[in-house]
Amino acid sequence: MGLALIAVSLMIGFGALGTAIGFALLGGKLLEGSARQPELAPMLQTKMFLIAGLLDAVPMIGVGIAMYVLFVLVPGMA
Amino acid sequence: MAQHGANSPTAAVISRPPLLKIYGTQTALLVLASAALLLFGEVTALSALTGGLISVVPNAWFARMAFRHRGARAAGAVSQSFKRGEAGKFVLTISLFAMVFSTMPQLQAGVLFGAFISMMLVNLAFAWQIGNRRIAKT
Repeated sequence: MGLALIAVSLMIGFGALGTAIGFALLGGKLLEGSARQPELAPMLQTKMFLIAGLLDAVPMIGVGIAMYVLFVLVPGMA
Repeated sequence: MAQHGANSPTAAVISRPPLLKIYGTQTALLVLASAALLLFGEVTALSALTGGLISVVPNAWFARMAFRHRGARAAGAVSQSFKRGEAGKFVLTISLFAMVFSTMPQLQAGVLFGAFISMMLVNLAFAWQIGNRRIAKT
């Protein structure tokens, strides 16, 4: 049970960390790109939206699996 | 000197994406697919519906937050709202998964995750289409 808790925390924690790092890089690049070429800002925003969807796809699946482990596989833990 | 930002002619051409239409279409597709899965049983259809909704609802929230601000002058606000949207999406996904798994443990996990991933791919396809359409307009 303890190991399952550790696994769930790692899945959620590293998922959030990876997404946060990715978004920090993306946001920084958006600001940089908008400052260099302001006329491209709306296009960069839509591109960022697309990349954001790709970026957090895998962490979201990880979060779902973590919740499955927490509530279904080891139900006494939650 | 050319004027840039939200009031420039280029920014005026690029309109806000029709988010309500996009996520309404996704939900309609999901409901149709779930209705088709009724052939395999109610639990299968319900699993697909909940899995898809767990994907669509947080994505709709994120899209709403992502396109709250427009233009180069609001680049900082755009970045901030992306961050807030992503945090909200993460919390919403965790909460919805927790709620579904704690209240409906009889659901088929494979179908639920399959629908979740499928709706994620559909969302990516729509986002890619938005990007292409808007580039074609500029």
